[in-house]
Amino acid sequence: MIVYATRRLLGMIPVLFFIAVVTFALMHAVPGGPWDRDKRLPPQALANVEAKYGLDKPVFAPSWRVWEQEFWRELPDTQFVNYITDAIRGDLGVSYRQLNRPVADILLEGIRISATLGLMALVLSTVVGMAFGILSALRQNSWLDYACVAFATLGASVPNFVLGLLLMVLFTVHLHWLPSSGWANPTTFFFLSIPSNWKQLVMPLIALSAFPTAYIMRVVRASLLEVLHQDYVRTARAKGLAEHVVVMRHMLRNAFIPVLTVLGPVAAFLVTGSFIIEYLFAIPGIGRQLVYSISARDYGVIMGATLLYAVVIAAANLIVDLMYVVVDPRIRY
Amino acid sequence: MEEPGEITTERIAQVAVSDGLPPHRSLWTDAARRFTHNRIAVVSLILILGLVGLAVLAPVVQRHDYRVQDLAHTSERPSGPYWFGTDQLGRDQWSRVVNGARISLSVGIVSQLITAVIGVVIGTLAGLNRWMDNLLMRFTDIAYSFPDLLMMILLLAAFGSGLILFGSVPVTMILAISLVWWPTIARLVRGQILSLQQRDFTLAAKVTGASQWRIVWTHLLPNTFGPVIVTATFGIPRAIFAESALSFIGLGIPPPNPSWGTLANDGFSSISAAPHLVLTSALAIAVTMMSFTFIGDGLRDAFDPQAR
Repeated sequence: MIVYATRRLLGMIPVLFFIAVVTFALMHAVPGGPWDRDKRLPPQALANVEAKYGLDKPVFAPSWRVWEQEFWRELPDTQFVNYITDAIRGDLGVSYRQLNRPVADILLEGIRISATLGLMALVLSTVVGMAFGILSALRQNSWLDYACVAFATLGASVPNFVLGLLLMVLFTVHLHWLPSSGWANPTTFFFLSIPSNWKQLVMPLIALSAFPTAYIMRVVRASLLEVLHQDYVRTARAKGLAEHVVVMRHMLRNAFIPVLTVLGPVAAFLVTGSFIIEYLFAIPGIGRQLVYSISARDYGVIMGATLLYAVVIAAANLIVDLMYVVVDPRIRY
Repeated sequence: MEEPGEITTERIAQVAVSDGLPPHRSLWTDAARRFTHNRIAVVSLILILGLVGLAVLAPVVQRHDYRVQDLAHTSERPSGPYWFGTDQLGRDQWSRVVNGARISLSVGIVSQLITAVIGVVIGTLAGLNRWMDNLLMRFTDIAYSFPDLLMMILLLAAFGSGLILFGSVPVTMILAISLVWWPTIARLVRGQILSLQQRDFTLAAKVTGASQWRIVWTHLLPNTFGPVIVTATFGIPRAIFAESALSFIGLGIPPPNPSWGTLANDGFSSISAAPHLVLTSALAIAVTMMSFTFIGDGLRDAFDPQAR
């Protein structure tokens, strides 16, 4: 298993490299640069600023003559090569739009907030989705089951920002119960911030977790219904086991495997969901940083945040794959 | 002329019929029958057809020109002359929603058509050819660890999202969505092709001397269409979501065009003064996505009754 995990981790390197290449190429293809303002900078000032940040160098490849002369002696002096070599040393550069603030700082602050929201949504959707999925499968065709199925259908087809907007109209505009936006205490670490700002968290959390909850509920219900009539469940009952032992030990364990499979996509979904939810509720997390930095051509922040997202998604998939071994002893790597 | 002893598919069929088996019913008539028995899917289909009708007839059914600002009637609540009220600039929201349906529906449907075509072609090649298969798998590894909305945002930022044909077909948006999503269908088709190649009818076709091309064209491809149609149908609401979400955060369709996402964003800025703007555009998105999801459910059950 350690060999497998190591191989997967090494396999992430070419994937990340390719993502870096694609992102670098696309963001430099965006017309304009980080210093576009309504009032144009004088040409000499612009040239100085670009030289300071190395933006006057070629993006990917130097001219053929330089390449031919220098390639075998040292790495070419281009923006991409410099970025990658710096990034390997742990230097992600500085933001061009936030007064030279190091990108690592910006990402660190953002991920505290985004991870708080994302992890809470992950826990909430897994717990609620599994609980109601189990209940509705065990009480198939009861009113509870119908309610769950109806919720699962609604949750799967109402997009997160639409749900967020509807919640906002109801709770902020009409009832005045909850604030529409903001994040009271951006510096506190992870869950320590919850007591002070739970009111701001309610709506983003619901909007972000509705879809994964519905998704997990559907999968749990379907896989449990399949397990319900298996021979080994009948055997377990026949040998006189208590009902909760049958459910916990024999049904859930097997029904859990398909849930594990969807947790990878769910993690990816929560990551992308955060762009929109953070924009909607004005939460200063990574998603909002990224959206703003793309329109501001803040190259360092775009690269840093994109690579961070890719690492998070790849790591989530790896953790899910490793958890299979724990849940299902038949699987070995 | 056929040799007397040669086994052809026609002959196998004749034997099967003369054995008194039930009359041959194709997958398609079977699926159509099951689909029409699914009440909620049929209702959703009618709803979507109605919406398509509204979108096509938008210039006729719009009550005012959707671009004309009427500063004497700004942010009005829904009323007789303005069914969905007016926005901050006095534009009729009903007309904007109906015209927005053109953009949303064309993004949903056209992007999935393109996705399906790319996916089927590449998936088939990967199913037949080892080398293509490796390439596809490496590519999907990368595609799956790149958040799809982020990739679309970057593509749109790089190539611009302003190119809109006929005022209702946002070309770059559609291409961005197709470019990001085709691996899903390609993987599906690849899996289908790999398993169909092991089936008896493929072997039978090979034994009767059918060419590789003929096997692919008449035996493998038609059998992948069911799952591809189902997946593409589920892709339509996802594409509508992607377009409206990107437009909502201001990185999608540029503002004067009435996409549902831009309408929601416009309404969002005056959510307390004029909540009807957010409500109408949000409901349009939600109802459309839900209808397509129900149609997808109906199609899935129709093509594969065991997969419930």
